[in-house]
This record gives sequence, structure tokens and C-alpha cells, in this order.
Amino acid sequence: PDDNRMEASCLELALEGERLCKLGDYGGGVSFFEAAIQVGTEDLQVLSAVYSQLGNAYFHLHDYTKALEFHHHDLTLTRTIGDELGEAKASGNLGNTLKAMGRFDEAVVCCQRHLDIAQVLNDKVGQARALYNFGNVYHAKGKSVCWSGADPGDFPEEVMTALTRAADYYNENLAIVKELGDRAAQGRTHGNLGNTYYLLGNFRRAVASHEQRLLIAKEFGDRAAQRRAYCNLGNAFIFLGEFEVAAEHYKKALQLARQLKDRAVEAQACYSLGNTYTLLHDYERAIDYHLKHLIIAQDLNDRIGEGRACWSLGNAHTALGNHDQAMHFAEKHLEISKETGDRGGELTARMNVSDLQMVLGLSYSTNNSVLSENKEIDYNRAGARPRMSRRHSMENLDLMKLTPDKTNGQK
Amino acid sequence: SSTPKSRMHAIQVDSVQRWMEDLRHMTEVECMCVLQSKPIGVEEDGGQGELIVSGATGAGGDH
Repeated sequence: PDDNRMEASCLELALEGERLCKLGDYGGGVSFFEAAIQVGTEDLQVLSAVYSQLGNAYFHLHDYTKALEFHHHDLTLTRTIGDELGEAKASGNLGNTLKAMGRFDEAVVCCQRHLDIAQVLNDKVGQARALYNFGNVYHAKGKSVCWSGADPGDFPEEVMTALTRAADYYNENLAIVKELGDRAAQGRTHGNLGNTYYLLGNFRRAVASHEQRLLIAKEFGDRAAQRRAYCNLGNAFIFLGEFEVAAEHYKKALQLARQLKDRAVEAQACYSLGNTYTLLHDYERAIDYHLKHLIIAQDLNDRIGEGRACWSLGNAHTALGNHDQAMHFAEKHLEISKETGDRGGELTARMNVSDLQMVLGLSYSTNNSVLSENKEIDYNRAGARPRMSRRHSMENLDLMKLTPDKTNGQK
Repeated sequence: SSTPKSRMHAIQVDSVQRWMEDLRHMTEVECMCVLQSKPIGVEEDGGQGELIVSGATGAGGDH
């Protein structure tokens, strides 16, 4: 009778944990699952489920060490009781956790185990999931190396290999999810594939994939996914040198960001449009969008974004010959870069201010020889300018708000 | 190329170049973590294959 009471109690606690997690209360869920384990159970399927859900709850709480611990318990248990389907799931979850921790090589082993079991069981859905996970691990691996200081457009061999593998796995996944008719999964894979091609520098293929992603996002009426696709398409067209087309896509992204009331994303779209119109030498429009970016950056108290906007505005006004306006923004850029401790920005701003002082001074003088003398010195200075820290990626806009420089401390 | 105008042009591409360097790494990602769950309760929709698609943003910034 005691045993029965114990079983009931463990199951009840576990069910309450499950209910809380479904409501998004992972902290509460964890407490009940831990209590359920304390009570214990003879039912190993229930125990496996508790381990698995506990691992997932910790994952959502970003406690990857704990997530790893419980997914590992689940893996060991499922192997012991010979539950292959359960082992496949545990391997998949463990792989995702290892990926999140940056332990890519171990994650690959888990993905392979997941895939092997799914193939043995002839489980198409499982195979598709394993291939998607595989793609994600190589994608993350490629990007983690990208971010750690490689020059853009000149990624090391290791990155290219990882990204090429990611593309291969995504394509294999795509073949299966198409066969299964799973449109939502196809959308996700097209998006990831597009990003992988983009990072590989294959911009034509990136465009083709993101166009497919856009199509599916429209089918589902998923405006956030449409916004992402337009933004990714805009970026790819920039590197194809098709600036007009890029601007059209950025405008669509801007429209959707406004509808979705996402101010940070709206600011980013304005910033991209300002730069795109600069590339098109349409400085009036560039100024218009950079001002829009500036206003939002100020609203959001994003000083780094504000500095970026002032730098761009100073340059656009310089291009138009509005030297007084240019000086105003160069000075603001200098002030902000000093405040934010951006040494590179500070030097650039100082140089711009002194250049503009010279031009403004020269406009009252006809002596051009002064300019040509100073020119060489300044060019040397420009060449010796310290390379500013690069932003890691815009992909976690939630984390990085307007200007990803804020996340430079990561990794 | 020694006119003030061309010199100013050389300066003004600076901020665009910086933007493009950043852009080269920028991607708007889909959900990168698909966790699978093992339901405890009896699900009316036979939830044995239930998926938890975790959001694109997470600590560490790469998933």
C-alpha cells in the first residue's frame, strides 16, 4: 500500500511539473520534477519522461549544465531499458544542449546517434529532426568561429567546412520534410539554409532560399518570419551589388517592423536603408533614414546606435557639402564615442572634426596648397586608424537591441 | 584626386564600409533549437512526438 501511495505521489508531482512547464513556468516546473525524483518511482518510463522534461525546463532557464545532467540521465536510463525511441529523443536533446554550450564535436556524436536510431526504426519524422539538428550544430559551429575574429569575406577553412556541412544536412532535411508535406518545417529549413549560403558567400543561392522562406511565411500569415526574410533578402542583395532591390526589401522589412511594433528592428531597418541610399549616392534619402534611426535610438536610450547615426549623418552631410551640418553631427559623434568608451569611434570622429574645421576654414581662403599638404598626412592617419571591434551578429536582436557592439563582451 | 570633394568622398564611405563589414555576419535566424519532449500525462492528441521549439534567442547568442 505504501508503494502505491509513493507511485501516485511521484506521478502527481510530475504531472504538476508538466502542467507548470506548459504554462511557461519552468522554475515552478523544476521544483515539482525535483520533488517527484525525490519521491522516486518504479515506473522507468515515467522517470525517463521526468528526466527529459527536467532537462528541457533547465534548457529554457538557460541552465545548460543542469540541462546536460538530466538529458544525460535520460540517455543512460533509456539505454538501460532498451527504449530506442526514447534514446533517440534523449540524444537529440543532449545534442541541442551541447550545441548551446559550444561543445560542437560532442553534439555531432549525439546527432549521429539520433539519426542512426531513426534510420533503424525507419522513422521519417525522427530522421528529419536529426538532420535539422545536425545542420544547426554545424551552422552554430561555423558562426562561432566567424565571430571570434576572422575577417569578413575571408573565413578560415574550418568555417567553410562547417557551413558546407550545415548546408548539406539542411538539404537532406528538406528532401524529407517535403516528402512529409510539413510546410512549417520547410519554412524553417529554407531560412536556415539561406543564412548558411549567405555566410558562405553564395548570395544567389541565399536569395533563392529566402524567397522560398518568404513564400511559406506568407502562407502562414507569419509576419515576423516575413520580416526576417525581407531583411535577409535585403542583406544578400547588398552583396550582389543590387542596391535598389535591397532597398525595396528593407522597406518591406521596415513596414512589417512598424506593424509588429518592434522599435529596435525598425531602427535597424532605417539604418540599413540609410546606408543603402548612401551606396546609391542618394544622400537626401540617406539622411532621412539615418534621422529616423537617430530618433528611435534616442527614444530607446541606445547611445551606441545614436553614435552610429551621428557618424553616418555627418558623412552624408559632408557628401552633400553641408559642412556646418556635418560638423554638428561629427561633434556629436565625438561626444558620444567618448562617453561610450569607443576608442576607434573617438579617433574617427576627431579626424572628421579636424577635416571639417579645415574645409570650413578653407572656404574663407583660396589657398589650396594648404589642403594638398595636409591631405597626405590625413590619409596616413586614416590608414593607421585602429580597427574597431566588429559586432558579432544581428541575429539576436532581442539581446543586442540596436547595435550589437553591446554584446562584444560575449564569447 | 586632390580636390577637397574627392577627399571628403573617401571619408564618407567609411561608415558604410563599417556597416557592410557587420552586415556580412548578420543573419536573422529561424528557431535553432528543437527539443523533443516526453509527455507524462495522457494526451488526447497522442503527444508522444510533441516538440518544443525553443526561441531563437538564448544565452550565448548562437542558437
